[in-house]
Amino acid sequence: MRAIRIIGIFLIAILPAAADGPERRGTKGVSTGMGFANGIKVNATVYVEPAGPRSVFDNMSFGIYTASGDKYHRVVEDDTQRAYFGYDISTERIPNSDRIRVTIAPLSASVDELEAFGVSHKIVGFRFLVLPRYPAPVVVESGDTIALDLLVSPDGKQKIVDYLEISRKPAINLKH
Amino acid sequence: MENHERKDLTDAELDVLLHAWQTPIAPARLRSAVFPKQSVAWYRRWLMASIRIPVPVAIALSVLVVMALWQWGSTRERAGAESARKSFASAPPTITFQGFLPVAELRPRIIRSHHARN
Repeated sequence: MRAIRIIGIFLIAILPAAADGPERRGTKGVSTGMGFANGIKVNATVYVEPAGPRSVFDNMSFGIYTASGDKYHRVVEDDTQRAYFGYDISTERIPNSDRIRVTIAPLSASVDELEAFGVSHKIVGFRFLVLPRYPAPVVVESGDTIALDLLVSPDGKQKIVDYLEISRKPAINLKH
Repeated sequence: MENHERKDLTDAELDVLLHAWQTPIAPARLRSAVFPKQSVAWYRRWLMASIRIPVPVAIALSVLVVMALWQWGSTRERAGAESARKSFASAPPTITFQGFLPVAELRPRIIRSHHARN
């Protein structure tokens, strides 16, 4: 009986960590949901890994904007550097399967469009950084997560990662 | 003068005297001093020129000029931002975000849902 109680306490202790998955051992930042017009949901959550102070996210903002619901713009801003970068994400159901094609592409929204989307800061005058390379489309299943490294410390030991949880159903409130 | 006043000249005598009076020839500069020539330099004429405009028209024109300048400035700012955006299209980012560098390439790692459940 005592052994069962100890196992129970152990399970309760490890459950939150298991819910976050083995790949996530960092400090959670902001989480944002995307609802695509084709019914696919993507929940984007930013982590700093390994875990660090939340002040890492100070003066940075991670926004999600869309005009049509077919494509979302992920924008990462730094107010102090007055710079931003990002990517576009679009999804496509693969017919006769449970699989979803996810495309990560260069950020296509212009300054005017971002302003029209209601970016919290006046982005005009910010430097726009284009990442040199973008990946080919990936195929996932509902429930899979795509991890994208966005920023990395100069020594390479710490990074800021975007976790994109893909689902066909309405996004569940994931406990990270 | 006093002698003239004291002499009681008749009108006829005064007429004779006036006809006989030889006036001195006016110096050449006197005319130009009294009637200056109109040959002012063109730029001075431009500087001294004035246009009479009704106050409402002047206010409306001022508002239009201010709005045009504001629009021009705004357009220039946007053009600068777009230009900076294009200039970075081929250059790797060197700016740090809170000490972090943007990655050179987005490499998606797929975490399968069955993997997370295990």
